[in-house]
Amino acid sequence: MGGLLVAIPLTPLAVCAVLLVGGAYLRLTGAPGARGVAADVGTEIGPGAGTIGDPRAAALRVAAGWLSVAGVLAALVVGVVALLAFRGGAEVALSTTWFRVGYLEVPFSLRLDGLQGLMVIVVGGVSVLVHLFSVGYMHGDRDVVLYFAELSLFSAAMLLLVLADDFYVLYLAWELVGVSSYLLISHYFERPQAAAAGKKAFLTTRIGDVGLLLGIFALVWLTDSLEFHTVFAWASGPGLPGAWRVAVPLLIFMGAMGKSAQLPLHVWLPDAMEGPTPVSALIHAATMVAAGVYLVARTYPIFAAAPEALTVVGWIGALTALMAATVGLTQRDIKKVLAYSTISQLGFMVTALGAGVPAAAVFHLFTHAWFKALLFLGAGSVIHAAGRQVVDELGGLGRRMPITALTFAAGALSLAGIPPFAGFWSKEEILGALAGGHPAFLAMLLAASFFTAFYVSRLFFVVFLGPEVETAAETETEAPVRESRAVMWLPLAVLASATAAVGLWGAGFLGYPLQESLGLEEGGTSVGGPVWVTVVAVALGLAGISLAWLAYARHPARVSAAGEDAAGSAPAGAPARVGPGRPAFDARLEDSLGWTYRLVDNGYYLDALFGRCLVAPFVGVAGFLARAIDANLIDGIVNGIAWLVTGAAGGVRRLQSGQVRDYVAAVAAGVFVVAALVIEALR
Amino acid sequence: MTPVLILSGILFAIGVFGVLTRRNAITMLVAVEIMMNAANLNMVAFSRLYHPELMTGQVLAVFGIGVAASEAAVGLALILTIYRRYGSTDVDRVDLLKG
Amino acid sequence: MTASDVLFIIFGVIAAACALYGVLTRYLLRSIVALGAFLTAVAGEFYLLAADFVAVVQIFVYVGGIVVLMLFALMLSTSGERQPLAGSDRRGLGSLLAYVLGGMVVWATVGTRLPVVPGRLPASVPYLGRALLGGQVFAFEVLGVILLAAVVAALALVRSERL
Repeated sequence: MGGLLVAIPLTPLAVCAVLLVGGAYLRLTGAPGARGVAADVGTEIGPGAGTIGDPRAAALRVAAGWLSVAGVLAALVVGVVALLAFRGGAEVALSTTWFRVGYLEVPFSLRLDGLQGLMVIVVGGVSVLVHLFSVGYMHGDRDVVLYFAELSLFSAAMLLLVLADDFYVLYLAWELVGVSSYLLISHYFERPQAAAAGKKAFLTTRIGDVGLLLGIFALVWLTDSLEFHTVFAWASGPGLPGAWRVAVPLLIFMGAMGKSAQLPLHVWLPDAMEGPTPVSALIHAATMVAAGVYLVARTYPIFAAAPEALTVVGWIGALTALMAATVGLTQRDIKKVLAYSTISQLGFMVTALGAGVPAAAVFHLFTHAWFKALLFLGAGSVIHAAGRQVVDELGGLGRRMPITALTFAAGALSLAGIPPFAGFWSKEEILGALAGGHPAFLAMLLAASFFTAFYVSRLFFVVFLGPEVETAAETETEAPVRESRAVMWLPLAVLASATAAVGLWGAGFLGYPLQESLGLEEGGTSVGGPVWVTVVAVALGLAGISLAWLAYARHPARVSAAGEDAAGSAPAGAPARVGPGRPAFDARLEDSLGWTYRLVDNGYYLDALFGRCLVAPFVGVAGFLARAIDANLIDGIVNGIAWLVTGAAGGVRRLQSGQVRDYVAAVAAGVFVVAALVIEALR
Repeated sequence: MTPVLILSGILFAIGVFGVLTRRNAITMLVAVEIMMNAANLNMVAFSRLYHPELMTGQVLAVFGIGVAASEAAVGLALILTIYRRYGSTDVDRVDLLKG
Repeated sequence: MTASDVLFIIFGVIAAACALYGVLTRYLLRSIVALGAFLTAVAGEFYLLAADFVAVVQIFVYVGGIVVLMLFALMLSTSGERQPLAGSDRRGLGSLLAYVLGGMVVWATVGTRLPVVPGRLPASVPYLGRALLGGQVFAFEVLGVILLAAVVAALALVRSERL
């Protein structure tokens, strides 16, 4: 049975390899010059142009998407089979020794149990839908083959991560996931912002990864083993000695902070929206960012032994949740709103982890994956159809894209925590657990919930309701906005149904089937909190939606850049159309709140802070090292040696005068010396 | 026998002086022959010292003369070739090996 | 002071004087002739040292062959000048090394106690013959080869390009 587990990450990995090799062979991947005529990559949707005229290349472009869908689908199927086997009582695991270094045996272990099986379903399921969506979304993109290769690589890495049963495989997959994320964010790398965003994501998560690595080192040093079960037995039993008991979980949490975008390592996620939207859906909503939460849940025995660490975790989670929710209120780019929403929801999960209810955190991870992916893909549908993603330029799309609008609404309601959607069940779990012993967290998360409902409703009302917005370009040339192709709305529909139904799996009145299957320890209060928390949460959610309705749907006026109310041309009988502009409520809010608004809008200036305090000095030091030390000192030494040698050689060269008589003189002198020595010796 | 040896030493010195001093290739060769003869003189002198019936020194001298003959022949041929190439037999002109 | 001693001194002086002249003169022709005279004087020295055969060989080969060869070479390499001249320079270095090397030989000689030389042998030719074709025959043969090689080499060097 365990052997099957290897097939799960292996299938998408094989697809990646095939696509890379085929692409390289057909010169579809690789150096930009090899890809034929450059397309305009200023917008997210570049008109395609590749190696023109090669039918094999065209075939590969079409096949790439479907091939990668098949890859993840196969992985998902195998995963389901394995999960059923596990439920049937079998132990589905694989454990071999990969290699030895000194006394350390480096293992390669995979396992599928309740928690890991759930993750495989989430990762595999969302992956399949996103791959499918990408077939439509990325159609015509110049680098579509490379895209699907990278996407398959990511899926393989993520699957490997959740199947890992020892720290070595975990870290390996962790890094691979980071790399593929970097590659995918920088997909439109000719855009400097995209390239910078990729670097930022990678470097920021790297900081967290260092913490994780140090934690792993400490564990190896203390327990001589990398296998989960050995380490967990140590942690729960004798426990890690002294300060390590608290330090190790905190180090591991650093890795989680990086990947799951918690304060202060969250700054990469909004920038990561430079990548294609399906990437944002898969990686930065459903899977990679969940890796941090999964990590803590998986290694929970280490955390459970250190309540001090859990407190830190909880605070970071709650602060992140609240902070991100406020920033989401002011963002104008659809994807940025969703990005901050993700950060905030991850904060919810982390708070739950800190409060001792990892099962609730994983449940929320589960539901969040579905509805956040849905929201992102819905946004992708809008972006693909309308060609733009800023709220100022979008409006009234509900009429033209009914399926997208409907599914988006489902996702929004789920995010806002309205029953019976999935988000309600999982959020209620978390809030209920907090009520028992963490009032501060509860207050912060309730406030965050209110804001969450508000901003997601804002997004929905502005984009899908109200008058349509026409931009100058649209009136001239483009075809009117239409609903997306089936390849794209089918995943939306699937996700919407999922988010409607899936929440029940963790519902109390069904006996918490999901939580039971996870097999996680419960360190805090029992699941299923007091009723008043549920009521308050739902009330806040509804309040948020209603306020947004009042602010944006009842009076959907816009303020154009010039400050006046915008108006557009409206052919007689057609629905009203306006020119682009900010929603009026946003403008009034900024006027009344002034600097507070701007502070929030700029993410509390954390990016600028990091830039000044961390990046700039670092770059300065690096520059100094490069110029003063490398160029002057080291090059100076190297060049100096060369100069010495040439100088010496030049001097010695003058001995070679080419004159016979000089050589004779030298020989004579030599004869003299030798003869004198001989004579002396003979005396 | 000492006077012979001293004589050969003096002649040898004169030869060295000549080789280092002269500019013309042929006169350099003259000086070289002077040196060679000084050496032959030395060898012949010493042949009377130990086992004179073996005539070792004289044999060496004969060989020396023979070798000197071949060397002079080849050397002069070389000098002629150089003369054809450079138009002069001034050794200072031939400095192709100059580094 | 026997007759041989006197002759030794005379021949020695002639040899040294001719050598010096040959090395110092500017006139190339005279330089070579001086060489010839020097070689003859040395041949005389050889005779006085009971190396009569060597003396004769010296005259035949050196004076009769090599000096003539040099004269020919001189003629061929001076492009018809009536009186070829060639100066000398670097006297300082030359004399320094000359004094050094010569002085070393003299000093070595003077400082060594040499055993007494036995009296004259009868004619050297039989002994020389026995040596050359007996103990040293191998070197003798090799000398023949060397001479052959030299002939071939000289021919190869001086033939003109067209042939």
